[in-house]
Amino acid sequence: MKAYGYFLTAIIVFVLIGSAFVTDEPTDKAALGKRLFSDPILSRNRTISCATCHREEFAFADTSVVSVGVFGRKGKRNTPSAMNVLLQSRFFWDGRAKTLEEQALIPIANPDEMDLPIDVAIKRLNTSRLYRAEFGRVFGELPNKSNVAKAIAEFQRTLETNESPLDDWRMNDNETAVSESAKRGFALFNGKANCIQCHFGANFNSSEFRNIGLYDGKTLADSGRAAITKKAADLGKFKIGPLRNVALTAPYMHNGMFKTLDAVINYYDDPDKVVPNAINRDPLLAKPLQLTTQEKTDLKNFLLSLTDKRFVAKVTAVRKRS
Amino acid sequence: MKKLLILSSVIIALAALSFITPPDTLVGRWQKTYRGVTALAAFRTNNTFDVFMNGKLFTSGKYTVRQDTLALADAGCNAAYYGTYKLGFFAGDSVRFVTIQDTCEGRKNTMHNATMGRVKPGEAKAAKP
Repeated sequence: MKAYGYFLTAIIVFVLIGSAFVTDEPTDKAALGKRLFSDPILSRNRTISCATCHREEFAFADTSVVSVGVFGRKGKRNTPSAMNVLLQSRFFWDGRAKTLEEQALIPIANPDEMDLPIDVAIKRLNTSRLYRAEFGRVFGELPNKSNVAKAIAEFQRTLETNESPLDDWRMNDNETAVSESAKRGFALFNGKANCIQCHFGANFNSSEFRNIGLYDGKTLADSGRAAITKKAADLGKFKIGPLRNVALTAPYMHNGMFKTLDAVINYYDDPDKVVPNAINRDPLLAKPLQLTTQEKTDLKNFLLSLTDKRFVAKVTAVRKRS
Repeated sequence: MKKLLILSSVIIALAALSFITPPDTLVGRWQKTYRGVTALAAFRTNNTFDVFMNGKLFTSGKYTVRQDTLALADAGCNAAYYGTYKLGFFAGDSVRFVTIQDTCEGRKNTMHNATMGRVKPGEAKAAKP
């Protein structure tokens, strides 16, 4: 009878401890992907996770010109936001990945980022009792290359934002959601400044690659899309960056060379002043825009209005600094 | 008796009028979900329109409707160029767009033969995923 009492107590303790873990268990692919996204287990020295460079408070982008990977290694391009990727069709600045699943695994194996061969990463996850159980629960199988990619990609698909002041203004006809300056900026964006030609669509980018003039073959020598396609016409072309939450994702461009939105607007206003000998620059940028100071301010205020309400406090701080 | 006749006529006329459907109008909100993406078009009385994808502003422009022909221009194509579409209202709450002429291929590919359902007041917010 005494043994039975011990046995019963042990069972109750086991169930209680188990239930404590259950509350934090991923219940679907996205939740499991979220855990993987933030877990340094996927880097060689277990110090870097996806979230190290894709920081939530900065709209899942980074504040450095290039992010720092394992062993202090620096990346080669600015970290893009991992948000608002649901409607996108190419990933990375050079578009090397056609799907989010394909994209999800590349930074893990990249020597400058997490430096962990995928096969090794899968073995690691399979030695983890936690991950074996979670993958079993979510996918009905042990961790493998395919389901790891699916989980991370599914998490990224949840990172959509559609509650910016601009959306509020247009969707709800709320005229007070944005300032008059931002409204003028919206008109400039669609008109005189002609930003809409490239930054078109739900996230203010198309699926195109463009050379905006940041390639001169000397100090600016990243060939961009051409390294993937091997076509001379693609020299210096990069994926058009989405603009949602752009106020939070400085520095800007593939090489992070512009620290502020003002610097970006000044560049587009007259690219030759910044990069005088650009090669293969897009004809859309052939002539200076000749924006007035007020127009530049209006454009900037429009860009600020693309910040989702979940980041409002952050953008307020950005405004105070500028 | 004569008064009763007049009164009856007025009642009959009013009753008949109540069955006349108001003219179809594009003004309002229209929605369609395709492959997990919800497109919502808002046509305003001031002849401006917006299109949203999954609750995100996709494009904005101007439009006019004359009889059954819609002419619309948006900044994504060319704010000064109006593509034209034949409007076909059906089932009381739906509309179909059939291309008459539009050199903006992206817009034409999206709109040609597309159908959308009218969003009832108060449903637009719920339409956001």
